Amino acid sequence: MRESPGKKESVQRRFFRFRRIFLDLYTLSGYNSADCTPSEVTTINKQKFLTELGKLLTFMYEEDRLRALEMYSRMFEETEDERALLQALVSPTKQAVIVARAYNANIGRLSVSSQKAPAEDRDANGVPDYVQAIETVREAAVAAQILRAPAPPAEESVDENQMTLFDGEADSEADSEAEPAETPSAESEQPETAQGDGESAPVSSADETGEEVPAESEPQSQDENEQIVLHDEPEVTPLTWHAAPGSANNGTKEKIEYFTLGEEGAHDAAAPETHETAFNIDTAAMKKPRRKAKVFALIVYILFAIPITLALIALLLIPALLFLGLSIGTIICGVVVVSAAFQGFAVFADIMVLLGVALVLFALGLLFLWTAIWFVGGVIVSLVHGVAALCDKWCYKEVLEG
Amino acid sequence: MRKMWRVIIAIVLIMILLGIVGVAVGFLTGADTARIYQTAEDNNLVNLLMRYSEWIVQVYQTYKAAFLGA
Repeated sequence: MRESPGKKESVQRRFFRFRRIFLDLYTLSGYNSADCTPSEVTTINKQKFLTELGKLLTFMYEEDRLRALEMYSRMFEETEDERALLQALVSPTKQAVIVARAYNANIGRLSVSSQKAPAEDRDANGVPDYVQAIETVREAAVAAQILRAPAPPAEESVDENQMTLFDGEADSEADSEAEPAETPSAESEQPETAQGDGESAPVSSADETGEEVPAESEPQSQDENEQIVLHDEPEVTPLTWHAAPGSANNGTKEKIEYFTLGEEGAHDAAAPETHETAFNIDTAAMKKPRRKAKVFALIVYILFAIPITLALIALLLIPALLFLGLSIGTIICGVVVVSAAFQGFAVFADIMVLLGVALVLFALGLLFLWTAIWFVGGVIVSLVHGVAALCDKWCYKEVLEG
Repeated sequence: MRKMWRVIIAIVLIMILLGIVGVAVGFLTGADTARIYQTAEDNNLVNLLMRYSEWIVQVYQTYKAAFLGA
């Protein structure tokens, strides 16, 4: 019973591995999106695409990885034809290759020891290469009319747009009326070529009060807000995506939580436990469960389980040895009958009878022998496994790391 | 294990079937149990099997005494 989810996961993992190898081979041989078979495309959706991409981008710093995932997530939100976008993107592997090439071009940061990229890794103009690579993909999708073209900026500057996204009550009301709650507003879809370090729409939670704050008035807070708030989670875990709470009737709130940014030092403090971080990733689901022993229960279980198990094994060994002896005896009888049939008997009919009897004896001997093997290798081993599983169930509990 | 059980049972059934066929063919072609027994006794086969069965019983009783203390 407990093996079925693990087996399913193993099958899924094997499927993704084979699909990745397959797509890699096609990519290396000049793979074109037009060559992609429909079944390949239709078996994946946005969530699977982003989850797979998230796994493939684990070589990046966490903030960069989430930023790249956010950009792809926005593409899916902007498109009206998800399937066409998936065809255009071809595969998570291809997009991961695109990002990886841009990412490794100037930074030797294949280590994930830190959640945050060092500041010197940034480009001079503040826009990392991988962001530009993703923007290129996005522009290609826009050119193919898969994505909606980004709305032209209003009369405000880019900075004001970014800030008023999250600050202005009036703007938020206008935005929430103008667009459905699930879709990010035009301002939030601005290409990430903004000033500063190129981070998309930096905000602070204090800006929820509704007052517009010019970006130039708080340069320090903008720098602090460059870092995406994350939980410490270097492990690769599937991402859980869900809609932002209150997104149905409060577009401004959704945008605010879209880019919850903060300082590295204030990492854990700034990270809200409401799980409303960037992309609305359920960070609790990303935590890896760890098994913790209940010491007292474990000791008591061992004290009782070992003698009982040994007694049961001894009991099961009796029929096992009985069947083993029976099988050996029966097979020896068969051998004796066969040897006698060819030694002293001259009549063919008698030899046939003896050979028939010998075959029956061999059959019974084989059956007894297998029963003995089954007792030892099946029943006793199952008993030991059952005792271990019971110990696992009673004496261990799963706790989330961190 | 379950698959192995099926294989073993299939083999056993086939062997038993062949044995029954062999015995049936033997009796249909003129085999006689009294003659077979007489021939086996002449060849010391019955004596051999009897001694073998006695040995098995002796071994069983030895182990029974060792385990149960009887």
